[in-house]
Amino acid sequence: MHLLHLGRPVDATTQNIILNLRLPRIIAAMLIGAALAISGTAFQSIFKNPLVSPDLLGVSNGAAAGAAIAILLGFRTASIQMMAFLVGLAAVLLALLLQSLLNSKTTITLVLAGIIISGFMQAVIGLLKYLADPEQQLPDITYWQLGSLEKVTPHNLLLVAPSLLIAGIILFLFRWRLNVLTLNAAEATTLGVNLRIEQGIVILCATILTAGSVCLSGTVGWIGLVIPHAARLVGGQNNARALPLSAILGAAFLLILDTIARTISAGEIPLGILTGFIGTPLFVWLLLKKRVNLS
Amino acid sequence: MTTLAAQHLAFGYRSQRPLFQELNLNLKSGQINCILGPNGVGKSTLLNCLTGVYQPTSGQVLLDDVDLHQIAAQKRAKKIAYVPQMSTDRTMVNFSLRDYVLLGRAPYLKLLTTPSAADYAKADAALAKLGIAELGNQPYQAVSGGQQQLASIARALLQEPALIIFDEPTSALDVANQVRVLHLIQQLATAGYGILLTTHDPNQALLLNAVVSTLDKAGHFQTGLATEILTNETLSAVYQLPLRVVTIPETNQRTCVVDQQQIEN
Repeated sequence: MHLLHLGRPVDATTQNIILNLRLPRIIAAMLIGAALAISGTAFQSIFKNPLVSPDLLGVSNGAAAGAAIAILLGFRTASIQMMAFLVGLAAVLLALLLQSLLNSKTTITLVLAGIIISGFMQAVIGLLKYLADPEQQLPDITYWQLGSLEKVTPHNLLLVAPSLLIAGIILFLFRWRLNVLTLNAAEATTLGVNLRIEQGIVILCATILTAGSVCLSGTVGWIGLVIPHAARLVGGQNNARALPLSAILGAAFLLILDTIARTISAGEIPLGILTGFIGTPLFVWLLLKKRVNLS
Repeated sequence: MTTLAAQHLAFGYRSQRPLFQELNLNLKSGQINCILGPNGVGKSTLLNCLTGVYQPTSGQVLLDDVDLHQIAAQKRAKKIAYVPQMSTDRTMVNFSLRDYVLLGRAPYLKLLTTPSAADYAKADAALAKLGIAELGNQPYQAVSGGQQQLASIARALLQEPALIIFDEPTSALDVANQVRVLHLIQQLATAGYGILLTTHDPNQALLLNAVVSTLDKAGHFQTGLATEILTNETLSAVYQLPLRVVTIPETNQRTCVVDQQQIEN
């Protein structure tokens, strides 16, 4: 197959590098960046709080715990990713279950349930790290938690991408509706919203986006918090504009960061470290620009 | 003609004494009903029962003779609009005023769709009707409290409802804006909307030509014409304070004042 018609045949090695290594990685970076940014935008809207990130309900820590379990059991990459995805989803389901066990429908109870499940998952990770073989498994778990796109292959990308695309498209179509969900419960209900169903749809899609991202890349923080702010600064609070814009900014941001991560030094710098070092000052700058009301 | 009727309504928060019991209330198109009572007696809770947000502990609310909870939220929203109290948390609501007003089209839009040009035209028309057309592009949090209240009323109009329910529409406004909003409420009733509003200020009730209900801390609920209900005895009992309704001779207006002499004695 000729990749480009440049008048010269492309040699097999180059073709292999581009098609099997670079291209999946570029697509993964853009997909994950967009997915995390979209789910952050959606979560900030339905939880009515600009400080919320997509891992509020425990999906990231759940996914990390799932990955750690799989690493300890000696699974291969694809199975580790699947475990991360499933336990990430399970963590959010547990948070929702805990909310109904506490006999409450309020958002604040759900947030607390998320904090509890997150904390529990962190304890699980701690225990697994303590039990892990320090030569091989412990570095694997730690490295996974730092985030990287190194292990993306065409195969596992194809496995995860459809669910990311479907959840992303549903949230995209839901973008105007998010504005209505930003209002308090009484207002939204009197505007004809069935809160249980509509919040459920948003939580489910955002969780699939985050769990799908985290299972491919490991934990990559800050994108889901910072990019929605950047999008709202540029395009205004209206989610009909902010959501697509945050998808574009998120995709571009992670693509640039991943390029830096694999080119700046001989080895690869884990993505989570870069997003932290670049995301935090960027967030401060955005807050200065926007002077958001955090009260 | 649309009617909203509360029958034998009671509501109490978990294991607490009910805020009200055996409450009966009727609202019709073209009518104003003003619910008067001190802070914290459960006026907002009552409104949440009447809009279908809360399920009453007992009794029922009928919209055109059908139990409110048998009607889907979306269908209810085409009949009853709700204008929230100004103190509502608005951290994330900083859309342009036009986008804010546009939220009133939600009951008419399918789940995965966005507003059409016709919806935007309706939002602009409502902004113009309330005299804030030039503020359409301003962020919600950049305009004054009075203008935010007008935008919330415009949002309610976009629901094309028969009835509009206001929670303390004037409590956060200065006197000029209070009069403006009350005047607007009168106009809406004349135009055929049924209006239900709450207030903690007896003078607001005196300003409106309305059916008045009082709700007090013991959960007592009385309804009648303003002239019957707004008397020294009833008001003093509701607020547990010596109050007097006096007529200002020059304007022949009735107003409610605190009887200082009785307090000092």
